[in-house]
Parts: sequence; structure tokens; C-alpha cells
Amino acid sequence: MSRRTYGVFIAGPGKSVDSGRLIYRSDRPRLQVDLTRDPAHMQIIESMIGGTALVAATDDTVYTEILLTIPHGLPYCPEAMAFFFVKSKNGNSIDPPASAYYGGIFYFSGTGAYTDAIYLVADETNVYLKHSISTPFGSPVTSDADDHILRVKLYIYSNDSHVSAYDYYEE
Amino acid sequence: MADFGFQIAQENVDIRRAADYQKTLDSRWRTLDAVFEVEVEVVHGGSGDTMAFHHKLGFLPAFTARKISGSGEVTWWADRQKVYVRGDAGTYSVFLRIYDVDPTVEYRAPVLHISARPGSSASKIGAKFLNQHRTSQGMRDDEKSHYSLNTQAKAMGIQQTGVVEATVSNGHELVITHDLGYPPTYLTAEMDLTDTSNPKIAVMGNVLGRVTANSVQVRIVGALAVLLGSWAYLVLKDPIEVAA
Repeated sequence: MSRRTYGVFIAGPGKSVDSGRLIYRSDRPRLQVDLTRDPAHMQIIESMIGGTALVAATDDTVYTEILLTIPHGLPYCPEAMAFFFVKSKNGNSIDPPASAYYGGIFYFSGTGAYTDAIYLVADETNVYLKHSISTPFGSPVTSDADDHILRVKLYIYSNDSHVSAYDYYEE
Repeated sequence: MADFGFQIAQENVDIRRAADYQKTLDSRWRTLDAVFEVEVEVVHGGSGDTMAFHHKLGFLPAFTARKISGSGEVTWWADRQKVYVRGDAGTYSVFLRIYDVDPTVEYRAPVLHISARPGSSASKIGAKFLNQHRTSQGMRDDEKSHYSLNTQAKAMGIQQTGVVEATVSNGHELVITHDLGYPPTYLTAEMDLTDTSNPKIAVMGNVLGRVTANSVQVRIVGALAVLLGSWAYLVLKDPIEVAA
């Protein structure tokens, strides 16, 4: 794309707009969050229980519950991010407050025997926070997600993912 | 040099009292702008890397990849010229979003005001720059993806980039020191330095492992303590009310 096209082009301090990387050029899309949406596309959920005590049997079944559904109102499946902070476990506060800080998926347990996690899912209608547990190997197990209080930082971007849905548990 | 510059604050925010994160545009730092948003299809034989897209940027770009179709397990890598697929044989369709930032370059944006300052409220005026490649919409369109800049939307500013290493001697740990005063939003990308003359970088995402974050550092210990090697990172200029 030639810079002789129309648009707005801004160079950094002391730089020329004719060469090198620019601070801003209006011919490029940006990763951005719509601030006018309700429910908010950028929000923090202060205290969220990590889920219920799901029980997984010893098969390939993934046991799942939906913890939160946010209709995004966008005409596509958007890019989204979730960061999970553990505020407390079994009623004991964790210090420092962001002592577990994960993007997309947080594993309550991720041993070889079973996987127990809270994670983000997006489709063309909603963004979800889900909790799943599965035990492809090993003995039946009960999730301890209900022992966790989480703070969740969530971004829903006005940027098309170009897929109909995605799921951090599957990725 | 004189302190020239260009700033635009979010709607309803007085530019004189805006926090860094309330700037839609500030010529002192960059935002996550995409150079390419492209769907490609690639047939991969299963060994080595197969080229999927020729970006020709000349640097290791931050990028993401959404697999649209293809049943195998694959990963996506970029060098200074191309994006590659690696893993199971198959035909894959993927959406690539390639950003105009090299996260392997040590960079730190100035931190001016990390929190909003009280003051008179700004009038409800704003700015919109259409994306000229989307020719069908008008200025009344509410869909923010149709704009390159819109003061009703928050652009993701780039605070810091660089490379950190996990080694046996440092306990298989990645440590990102940011000094921001709050736990920031960050992304990481594994690097492949097998060919030192032609390094590669994986998609931006998160390391699978135990992560702790505070107001000064993000510390990442890999799953089963086997994390090794170089990782590029990207820290966003985060809104403190979200990060705190």
C-alpha cells in the first residue's frame, strides 16, 4: 500500500512520515474495544466462584458448566481475552493479590491424570466463561473449583476472529 | 527537539487530564495495528515448516492465527519474511492477523499518568477515522471495526516489548519486569533459535504454566518445570481500573 493513498499518517517525534514505521496510519485496523457496549466489552468481574464441584468419570467425557454468558452484539465472533486472578482459595487470601495470572485459561489442576479449568469461549453470539473437567487417564475426580474465588479481567475486541467459534479448553 | 506531538483522548475525557490508557492516540507510543488480516490455505506435508504467507516485513512480527479448517495439530511460526505451518500433515485454512510490532526488540514506552485525574468533564465530542479499505460504511456506522480510529473505542497501546529466557540455572522461569504499578495485560510468544541466522517466532498467546504477577513483575514457571528457551513478550498499556 502506497502512502500516496488518502488517509491520515502520523510519524513519531523527530521522524518523517515518508519513511520508516509510523505511529498511526488510518489504512490499518487496530485491536480495539468498543466503549459504548452494554454489557461492557471491557470489564472486571471482581469476585467469581470458580465453578461447582463437577465430578469426572474415567472416560473421555468432558464435563462442562457455563459460568457466565455475555451477549456481545457484534456481527461476527470477536477476538477476546480473559485473565484470571486467584483472590482466595478455601477462604484464604492469596498474596500478592494477582498470584495466579493466566490468559485464556486457568487450570485448577492440570496434571497428566486429569484437567480441571476455567476458560474463555467465544462464538458469533456470546462470549462465555466455562468450567470443564475431564479424566482421560486415572481415577474419578471431583473438581475443587468451588474452593476458588477469582477476579476475571475480560476484553471483547471489535475485531473479527474469522472463525465461527473458539474455545481455549480445546486449543 | 521541541515537544511536538499529537494526542486524542477517549470520548468524554479531557485530554489535559487523561491517563495514558485513556488516549485513543498519542504520538509518543504505538498501538497494536495490523499490517495484514488475511485468510490463507496451505497444504503441509508433515515434515519441517511449510510456507503459508509471505509478509515481507523484514522483522519478526507479533501475530495471531485462527485455524478455520484442518484436523491436525499444528503450530504457526514467522521469520522476518514469511509465516509457516509446522506439525501434522494436512490442508489447513487459517486467518492470520499480523501486527506492525517486533516484540523481540527491547522497547519501553513512557509512563506519564497511570490513573485518571479528576477535573472538569470534557464535552461529548470525538474523532472518527474511517478505515479506507472498508468502503461501504459511513460515519454513522456504529461497528467499531469499520474505523481505524474512533474515540468511542479503546485502542490497545504498546507499553513494552522484549525477550526473556528460561534456563535451568534460573529455575525454568520467565521474568518480565515492567514496573508499571499494577499487574499488566501481557502476551508471550515462543522463539525458535535453531537456525540462529534465521530466528522464528510463534503466535502471541500465553505460556502454559504457573504465572504470578504483581505491580513490578510477571513471573512464569512452565508446566512441569520444563520451560526452556527464549520468549518474546508484549505488555499492553492497560487501564488501571481493569488491571488493579
